[in-house]
Amino acid sequence: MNSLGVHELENLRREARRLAEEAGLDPWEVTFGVVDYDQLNEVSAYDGFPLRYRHWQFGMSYDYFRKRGAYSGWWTYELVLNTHPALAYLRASNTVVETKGVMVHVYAHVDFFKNNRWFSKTNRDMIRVMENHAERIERYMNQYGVDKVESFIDKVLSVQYNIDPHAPFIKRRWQAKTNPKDEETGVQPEVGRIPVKRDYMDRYINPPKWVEERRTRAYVEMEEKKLREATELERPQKDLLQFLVKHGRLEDWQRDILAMAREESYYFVPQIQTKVMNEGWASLWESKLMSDFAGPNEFLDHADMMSKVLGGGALNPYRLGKLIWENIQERWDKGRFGREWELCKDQEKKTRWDTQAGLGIEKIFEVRRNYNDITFLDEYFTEDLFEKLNLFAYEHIPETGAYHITSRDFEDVKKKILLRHTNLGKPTIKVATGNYDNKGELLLIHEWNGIGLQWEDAKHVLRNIQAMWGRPVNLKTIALRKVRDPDPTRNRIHPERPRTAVVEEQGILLRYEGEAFRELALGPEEVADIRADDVDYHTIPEEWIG
Amino acid sequence: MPKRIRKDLERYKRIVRGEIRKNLKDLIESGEIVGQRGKDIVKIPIKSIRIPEFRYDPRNAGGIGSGDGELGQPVRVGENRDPWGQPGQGGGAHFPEVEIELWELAEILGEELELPRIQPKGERRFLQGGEDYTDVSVIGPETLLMKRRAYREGLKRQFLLNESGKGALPGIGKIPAALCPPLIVTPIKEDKRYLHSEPEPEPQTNAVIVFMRDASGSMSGEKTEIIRQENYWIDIWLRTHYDNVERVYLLHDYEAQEVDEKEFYELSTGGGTRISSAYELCAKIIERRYSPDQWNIYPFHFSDGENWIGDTENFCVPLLRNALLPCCNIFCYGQVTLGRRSPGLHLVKLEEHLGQDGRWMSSIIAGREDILRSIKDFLGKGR
Repeated sequence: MNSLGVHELENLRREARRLAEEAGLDPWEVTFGVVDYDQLNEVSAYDGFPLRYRHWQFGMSYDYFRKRGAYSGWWTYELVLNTHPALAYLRASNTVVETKGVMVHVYAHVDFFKNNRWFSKTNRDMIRVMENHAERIERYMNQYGVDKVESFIDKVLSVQYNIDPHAPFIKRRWQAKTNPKDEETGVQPEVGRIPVKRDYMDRYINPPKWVEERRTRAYVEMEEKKLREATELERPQKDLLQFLVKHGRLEDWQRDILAMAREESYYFVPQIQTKVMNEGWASLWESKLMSDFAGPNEFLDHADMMSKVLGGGALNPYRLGKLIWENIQERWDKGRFGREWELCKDQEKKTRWDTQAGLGIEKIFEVRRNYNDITFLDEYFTEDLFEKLNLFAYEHIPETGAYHITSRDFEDVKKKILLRHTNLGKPTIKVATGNYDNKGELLLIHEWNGIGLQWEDAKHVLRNIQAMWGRPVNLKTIALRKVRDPDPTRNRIHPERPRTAVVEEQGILLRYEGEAFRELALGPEEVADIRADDVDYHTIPEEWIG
Repeated sequence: MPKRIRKDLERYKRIVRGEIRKNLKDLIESGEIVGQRGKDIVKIPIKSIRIPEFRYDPRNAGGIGSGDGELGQPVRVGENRDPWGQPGQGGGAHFPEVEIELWELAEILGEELELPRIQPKGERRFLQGGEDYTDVSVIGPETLLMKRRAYREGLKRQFLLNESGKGALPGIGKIPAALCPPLIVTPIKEDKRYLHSEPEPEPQTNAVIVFMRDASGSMSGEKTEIIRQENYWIDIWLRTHYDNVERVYLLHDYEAQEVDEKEFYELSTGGGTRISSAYELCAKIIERRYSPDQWNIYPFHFSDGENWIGDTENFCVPLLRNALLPCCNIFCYGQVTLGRRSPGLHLVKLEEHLGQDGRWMSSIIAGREDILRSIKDFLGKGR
């Protein structure tokens, strides 16, 4: 155990920064906070923030980190916030070489935060925002009760990523125009009175109480009509949170919490979208820079450290990301790109291919600026890499109740990888209208890509949305339905492989009115609008089916 | 623990405890937890604690793995495990099962059954190896060798014996440091120093649980499973009260023998039943190995209540009254009879003779649904 003083840490930090800048990285200033083991677990639970609002989920994360540490010796290696200046944490009990490793790793992350396009719209002052949220929620808890507020947050969290990750990049025409203040407010509708010939009779024929009642009713009707019209959408919208903030039947404090959750989600989205790239980038530069930064006697320790971070299988984002970055650099250094390279079929020639192009470094900086995980994996997860990693795709076979290896084909594995990164790895749910059936009901649609929803969860979420929407909610989706059991008498090339039933798609409208669920079967034409025909993520070989 | 997170942790724990208490009966009857025996942490599947979201059905989405294997070969996949969702980067990390430490689980069990805490009898002091290496010793295992210290001792010795630098300290005296020959220090046996922990007397409480079971043919299958469940919960409850818990397993038919845990639940014999054989062996083992003034003794005996004619009143009762009950905290007898709740002859006779003794506990277990109540029967006195 060592305890580095402030001056030693500052010297290390300066050296780490100098090395990072010399290598071409362009990070913001980084503030390193030294925390003990337990504080590290706390900030890890808060996703790196010094303070978050009060909610049991952070307690759950904290408990998780604590037990991980106590029972398997695993701890958060590095933790850095996308803020300006960036905030990163160092464990007080880190050795010198660990501190060095974490520092260069952090500088690479901060370079990524600053320069990757997908982060360009994030709020870099998020620490203050989070503190503000915590304060407001604390106030609501004092005012309305902890349980009430916390259970509302539970509901909100179940839709926290039902937002539109691309929204910050879209300039919409109406954005310039709408201004909530311009909307008419408090206009009293004219209420028909029974005409009276003599003024003194008016009190009897149109009693004030009756007039008032009619006026109120007309007002409510008008408001509802306005709401219905406002909730009719031209085309489906992904940002369910925004829709609920605008049109949900919520109290002011609930609306405020919903809006806060939405803001936090938009902050986290780019990190989820670039996980593989970002961790790979940091690991790449850590290993590059540490060859200079680590002393001769620290070299082995660092190699040991890296092997822990990069261990745990080919799909560890640190490892996969680093491999891809190294592969890109090598290919562009040796000129292994472009038309000639793509067209070359001579394997022998390809292994010896080296045009001395030397464009590797330039290329990886360009990629780090413009890509996110989807485009990164789509373009640079190549067949060569795939062959090195010994990957396979697997599927669940209901007949055996187990998962089986279904394919070792590059295309199959790749589409499974892309599935994990499309729309944050979650099914795409959109708001179709807030005036379904002209009754002010919410209609959500699940854009079907062949993969069904986890049904119990979906119901639970729907129940939560109903509580926020205040009227019945509907979800249009598709599920797979068994048509025919496999034929045991059919001759197969590989009789030892599992066989599975023939399935077909069944459209379903799942409806929750506030008490019970109803499932209505929909015909194929009724779900034509939510089915995407051009994608197929399934990898079960034809031979196993039927 | 940091202050800010404490409130969140407490709320989370309260939710977990509430859910476990609500589901305790199901958890016990399903036997899901018993399967994880031998760990300090148990995983408890509680769905309601996870925040639900629109997500793919994992059985529909499939996935990717790495490694060898033929097409069609089954692979093990954690149903909810998400290899990408490493926590620490932007929320959304979710944990499929609730992990809970054994002592917490025991505490919940205690709360739910309103079990009183046990007061270990006697206050004894035992020598316990200290856990901190605060001392230095000249002998010890190589893993605790203090290398730097050994070299320093070696260096000192070499100077004293004039073995290095030809009589001069490097850099000191007449010869400039640069001209000194390279210094080679070779520690010998006498130079070695080892980390050492000084044993300190610390109070330690000991308990021994003697599990006895009728192994005749009529006791196999579901009955054994019930006993296994019951013993598991008894075990974790007692373990939270004592620093050191040992277990003894005795199987009997006509004769009794000591077995290990695995055999205890797996072996079954064809012979008749003579319960006194087990009580006798139990008394003998206690006498030889577990002196009552150092050990809290908990014998548990399970059978279906059938016994050799005359054995209960002629042999079991005197053994219990004279040899076993006086040295035990409690003696528990469980009659495991599937579907039948009337006491067998063995139990009737024992109740008749020993019912007045505060250390005598009995319970009838007619199925898994009785496990919880029967734990309460046994441990409800807090002894």
